[in-house]
Amino acid sequence: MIGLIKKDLFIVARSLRSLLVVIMVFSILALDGKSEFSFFCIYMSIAIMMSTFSYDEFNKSDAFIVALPNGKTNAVKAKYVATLIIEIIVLIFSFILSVIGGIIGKNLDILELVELSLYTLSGVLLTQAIFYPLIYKFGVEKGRIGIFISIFSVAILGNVIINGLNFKLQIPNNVLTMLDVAGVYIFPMIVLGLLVLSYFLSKRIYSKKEF
Amino acid sequence: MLEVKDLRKKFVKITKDKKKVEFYADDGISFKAEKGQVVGVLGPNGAGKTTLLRMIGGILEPTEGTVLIDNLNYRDNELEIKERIAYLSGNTKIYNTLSCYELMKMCGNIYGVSEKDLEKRIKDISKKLNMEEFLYNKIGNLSTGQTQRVNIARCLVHNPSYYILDEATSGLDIISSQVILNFIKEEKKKGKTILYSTHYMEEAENICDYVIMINKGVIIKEGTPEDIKKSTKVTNLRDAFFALIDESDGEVHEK
Amino acid sequence: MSSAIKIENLVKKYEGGFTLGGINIDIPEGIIVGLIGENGAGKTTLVKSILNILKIDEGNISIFGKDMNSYEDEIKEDIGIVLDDIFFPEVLLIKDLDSVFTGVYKNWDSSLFYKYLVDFKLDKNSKIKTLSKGMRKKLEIACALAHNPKLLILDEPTSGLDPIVRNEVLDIFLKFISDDEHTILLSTHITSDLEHIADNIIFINDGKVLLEDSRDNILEQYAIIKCDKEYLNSIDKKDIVSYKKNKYDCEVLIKNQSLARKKYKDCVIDKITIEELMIMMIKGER
Repeated sequence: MIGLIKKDLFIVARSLRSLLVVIMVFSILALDGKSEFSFFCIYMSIAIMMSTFSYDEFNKSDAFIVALPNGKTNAVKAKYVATLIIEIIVLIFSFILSVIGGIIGKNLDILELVELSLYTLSGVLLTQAIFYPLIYKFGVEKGRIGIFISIFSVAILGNVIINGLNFKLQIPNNVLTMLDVAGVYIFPMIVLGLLVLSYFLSKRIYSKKEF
Repeated sequence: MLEVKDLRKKFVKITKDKKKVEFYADDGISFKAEKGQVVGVLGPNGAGKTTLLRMIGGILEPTEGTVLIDNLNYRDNELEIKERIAYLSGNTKIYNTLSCYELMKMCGNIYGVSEKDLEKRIKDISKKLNMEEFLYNKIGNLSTGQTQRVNIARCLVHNPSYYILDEATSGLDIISSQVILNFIKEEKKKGKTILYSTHYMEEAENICDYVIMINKGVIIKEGTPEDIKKSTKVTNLRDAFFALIDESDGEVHEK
Repeated sequence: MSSAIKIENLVKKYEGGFTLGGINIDIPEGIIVGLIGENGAGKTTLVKSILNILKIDEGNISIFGKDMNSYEDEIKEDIGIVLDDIFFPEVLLIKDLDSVFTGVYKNWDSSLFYKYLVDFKLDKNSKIKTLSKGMRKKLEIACALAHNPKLLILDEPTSGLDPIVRNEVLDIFLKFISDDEHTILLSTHITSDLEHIADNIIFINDGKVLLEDSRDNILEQYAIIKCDKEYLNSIDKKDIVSYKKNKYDCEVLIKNQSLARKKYKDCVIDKITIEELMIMMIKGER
């Protein structure tokens, strides 16, 4: 499995040059305020995730990997782990940039940044949990369409629900506060749970595939 | 007539000590190909065959030298030349989501073939190459042999006078290869000029009127297959190849 | 001699209708077996089925005497593979492969890998993408050999290589089987290579094994009678495997050469090449 993890990390390392411009632009933005922080993270992670799949597809690497010892059993696991490694690296990178930005702008609030990081990490993991089974099932190209559809549906649905809640329910203040505080810890855990489910789903899809 | 004069192509490579090294993939290549001639371009991997054929096909610009096709050169008459030639490489990927018919139609349109002519030509070509049964199938669903026939078909659509074929039978089994070789023989009879590069010496012996052997960017031997065999004192082109490459490398090679 | 690969009743059905069916093959250890057939006959399907890249519908595969279903990963540690147009992403550098394979094969030998790179004149800092087809094949072969496998399964390993490199590669294969414990299954359409190095030949056509025999037996037994059309009718139908009517003459593929030479004394009987055998068996009429 280590070999396959390294394969994906090498793909990222060797193709970083093309991502360099994007990294530069977002680095500059991140130094300015905090909102771009999350966007940068999620965008970069998605782009990087998709590229490893694309390269595998183009070179028909999956057929090769499945012919290797432990290839079939470890392919999905290695992909998820490699993605986590990349996501954490990008997260740390963005965090450092935001700290620098905060120092320059003299509005550094470490606690807030940590909280933001946790939410961002959850967001990234949630996207991974949704995307990956779709990509495994439909391939990168068609998976992209599925991804857009799912993002829009979630966004629209979320909007409808929240608006509905605002009108119909009056959530007592202390519940709101509790959600705010605990949410930082609850939300990531829910997402981790979803990620684990996503992993098993991807594994099942992959085991049925032929190359 | 196709004429190549003193063609050179320089490439820049970066070595591991980060130094820039220049090398000539092709260094002073000159030869002629007449109407109705099949000229074989042979040589080991990396000799400069593909680079040479790309320059002749107008895909790569030479560093020095000229390519003259019907006395036209690329600098002044690129479009006219390209209308007269067809370039086929064994490794070309073609549009998998189009049907053969659509691909041929598209090529015809690109070359400005009139609608009326185009329809008729597509019909004739598909009949000649036995493509009628899969003419409307998506290219992505075809077998390797069928795909190569499609590649030939799209070359024929604009009725070129010159064919530049770079390892056109690479990856094909014997039977599919024969389709291509027969096609070359037929086109030759019609007076077309064909440049044919291959690794299969038996093929070259079979269809080439004239052969140029390239190693390390220069022509090390040229002549008819008979001449070459005589001068290297062997009975087939394959042995001639081994003998000549050894000589030019100066290495002792065990067979 | 034990089996390197034993295939019993393998069946693989495709949706489009093509079926690789009822394959029974026994490949003993210590030899090179050439797998030949037209494009689309089922060679690649067979190779992929053996490696479990494709799932089979019926049948048993055992390699080194162990059942593939139960010991797949263990078996694959000892198999070196070169597949057609299938490899790791080409954005990787050659030296990256060393790192990747170290984490894949238990017996990966980095120093052996680098030795092959030197022999093949491959620069470890090159991107795979920049390699010519021939160089890439050599790289894939280096990767297949560097973990000291017992079995090589190769799909078109010499395709796109010039005659000199092809010879080098074939020499490497010959060296590989020089002790009796190593075996090679080599699928190729370059039948002239097999004339040099194959011990056995398996001929697949339209999803079935048409012929499985030693190369020597095949070249001894099969031959082509060249005769005119009238003579064709006088040849015993039982002796004819297939025939081709050309413009001026006929070619008849026969199986029992020694018998035929006695029976049909007055016509030309030519020795056969594997290529001609293939053409006659596929394109000939029966």
